[in-house]
Amino acid sequence: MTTPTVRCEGLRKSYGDRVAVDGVSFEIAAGESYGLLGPNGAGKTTTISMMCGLLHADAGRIEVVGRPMTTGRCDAKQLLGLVPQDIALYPDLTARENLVFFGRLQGLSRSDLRTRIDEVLEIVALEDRAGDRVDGFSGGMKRRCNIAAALLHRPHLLVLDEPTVGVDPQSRASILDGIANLQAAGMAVLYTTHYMEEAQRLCDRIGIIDEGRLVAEGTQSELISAVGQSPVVRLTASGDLRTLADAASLQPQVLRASAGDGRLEVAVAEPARALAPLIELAESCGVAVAGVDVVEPDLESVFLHLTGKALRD
Amino acid sequence: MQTVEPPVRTRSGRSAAFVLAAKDVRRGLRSKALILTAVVGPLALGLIMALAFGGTSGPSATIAVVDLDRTPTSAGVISVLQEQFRDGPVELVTDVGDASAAVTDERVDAALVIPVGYAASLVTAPEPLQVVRNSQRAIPGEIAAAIAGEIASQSDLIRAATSTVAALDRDATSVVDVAEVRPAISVDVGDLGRAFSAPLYFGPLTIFLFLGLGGAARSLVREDREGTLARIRSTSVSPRALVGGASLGVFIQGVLAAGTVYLVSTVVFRARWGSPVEVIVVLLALVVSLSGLSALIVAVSRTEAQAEGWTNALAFLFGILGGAFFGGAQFPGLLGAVGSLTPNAIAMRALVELGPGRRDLLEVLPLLVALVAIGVVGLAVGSQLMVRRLR
Ligand SMILES: Nc1ncnc2c1ncn2[C@@H]1O[C@H](COP(=O)(O)OP(=O)(O)O)[C@@H](O)[C@H]1O
Ligand SMILES: [Mg+2]
Repeated sequence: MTTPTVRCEGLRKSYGDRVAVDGVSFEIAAGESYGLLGPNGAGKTTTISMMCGLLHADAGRIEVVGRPMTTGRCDAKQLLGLVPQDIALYPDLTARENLVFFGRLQGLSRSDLRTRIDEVLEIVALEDRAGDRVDGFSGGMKRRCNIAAALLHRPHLLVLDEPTVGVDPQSRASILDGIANLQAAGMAVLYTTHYMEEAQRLCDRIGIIDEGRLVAEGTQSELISAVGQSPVVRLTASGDLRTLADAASLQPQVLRASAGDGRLEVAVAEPARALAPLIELAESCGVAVAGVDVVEPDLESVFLHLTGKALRD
Repeated sequence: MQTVEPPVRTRSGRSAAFVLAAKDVRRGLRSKALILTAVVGPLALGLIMALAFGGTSGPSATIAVVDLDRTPTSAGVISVLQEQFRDGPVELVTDVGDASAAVTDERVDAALVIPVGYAASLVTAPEPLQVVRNSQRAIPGEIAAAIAGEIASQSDLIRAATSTVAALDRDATSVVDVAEVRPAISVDVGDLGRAFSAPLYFGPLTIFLFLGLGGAARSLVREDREGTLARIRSTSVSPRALVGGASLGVFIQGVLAAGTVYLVSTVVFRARWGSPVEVIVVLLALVVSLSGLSALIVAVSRTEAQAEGWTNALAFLFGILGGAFFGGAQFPGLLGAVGSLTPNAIAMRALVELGPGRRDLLEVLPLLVALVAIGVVGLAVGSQLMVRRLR
């Protein structure tokens, strides 16, 4: 068995009476991408801060490739690259000056740095802005430069704390592509977000965090099946929808059916096989069907199911 | 599959501290905050005060000349001086009675005393004129000393004039040909004004530098707020190297600012500070003490704003009690005694005592040690607290 890239066990942190992180444990394998998905205030940043040795944990253990993480100087830190939630760059220095500084702190020699800076700037598509001051960058460019600074020392694990917050759609797409490329090249990734689409798109495994607790963990399909969510066929229709709902719920492949204004929602195990009988049934009940949607269950509904609240407020 | 064995790099804590310090210095220079506060401030204020102290010709002062010798020679010297300073910025007065009393009562800024037997001593070993100073009025004191020095250096000429008269078979001590002696005693007051204008720049420097270094010393707290500290701490930098680097950055910025004030006031405004080695030693001691105090202030403050408040309050207090402005004028009595313990007052005393041709470094060592001690204690306590906070 190989040592996991990260192992966190029983992490706990309180601020006064407020418990920010309450016994969080997880592991990330080499090359794996792991998503921490949860709403604002769930404890994502606090968890990451402990994991990266910025914050003392009240309890728990952290190991990076088998090496203990501490808040002081330690080997474990050299294996992580942190992309903090807030832009952690000097606005009055150029992109290159920022990267030289952080690269030197990471222990890279000047000659290593010269080539490495060009490489990371290419990864985040900022090659032509290297000599410009960061305070002249757009929000998206700052975010990308923020990521570049974490890549200089070729970390085993890239830790990204909500890297797309406040970014235009184009930059967001470029950031997500960049991360996907790094993953493909074998870098393990810990990605926190409150956007479920991002977690769905990027992460091999997802941990759902709420009020400081990891409430569920697994691949996307594992999570969805674990909470018993099923696809829903949604008919936009006019007529006696209530009678249709009653009739539909008697059908063998239908799990649940409910009528709303101008809409019928039918939960089924396999939408492809349930569709034709449903439309037939609607015709026989005198309901005119104007449109059909199939809604696959997603992490949003998993989160709703687990916590009773929406991911975004 | 990635290799499991991590690439562990070795980088000493010291080199990390240098990297951190270099970054702070670069940002400090780029922001120009320190330059405006600690360089432009003292230079502007010093120049304004140099001009106010009697235009470009030098400082104004009232100096008494008291003649205890009461000989025609001493009377001649006095009339030469009166002639010399008739329209100059220095006002000479003769009718003050006791010199010490006049200086103590502040009727005059300083006094020159022609001692009993002065004329007679010219023939053998010339006695120097005595200078009575007020410690609060450094510049007039220096002017009086310079005049005394000038007269002493011209005593050969004065004696020559006297013996020429004797050779003409007249009473050697009865008459001095004023006209012959006059060109010999030429004291360039404009030059004197520049010679002692260093305190005018140095005083404001002590306070402005404290304000500027206070700002520089807040860099760690500022970076905590701005988020860059998180990234720095995610690299393998020990808290000790982090605090050490920040302190080094403050010290370097202090040296650069003080050095610039010294150079610009010397080269552009033609101020004379005294021997460069001595001046540099005093400036370094000042920077050490102010850096240490700044580190302590940041460490005991809970927030950046609190640290700034402390720095501003202390700068005002130091400036007023310690007498940083107007050439270092201080309060009398208890306030003055308290004020003399401020780093700016200690540094000013060291600078003035070292002033042109007076004491040497060894004699002002206690003052320098006091300055460095303030800095070292502040730095030690401040760093310890800061390292603990970062752990
Ligand atoms: N420095 C702090 N002091 C007090 N409370 C904090 C501090 N940092 C975070 N918290 C609290 O801890 C909880 C978790 O915060 P955080 O980890 O930032 O959540 P997330 O990153 O998921 O949005 C929140 O309730 C937040 O208010
Ligand atoms: Mg957060």
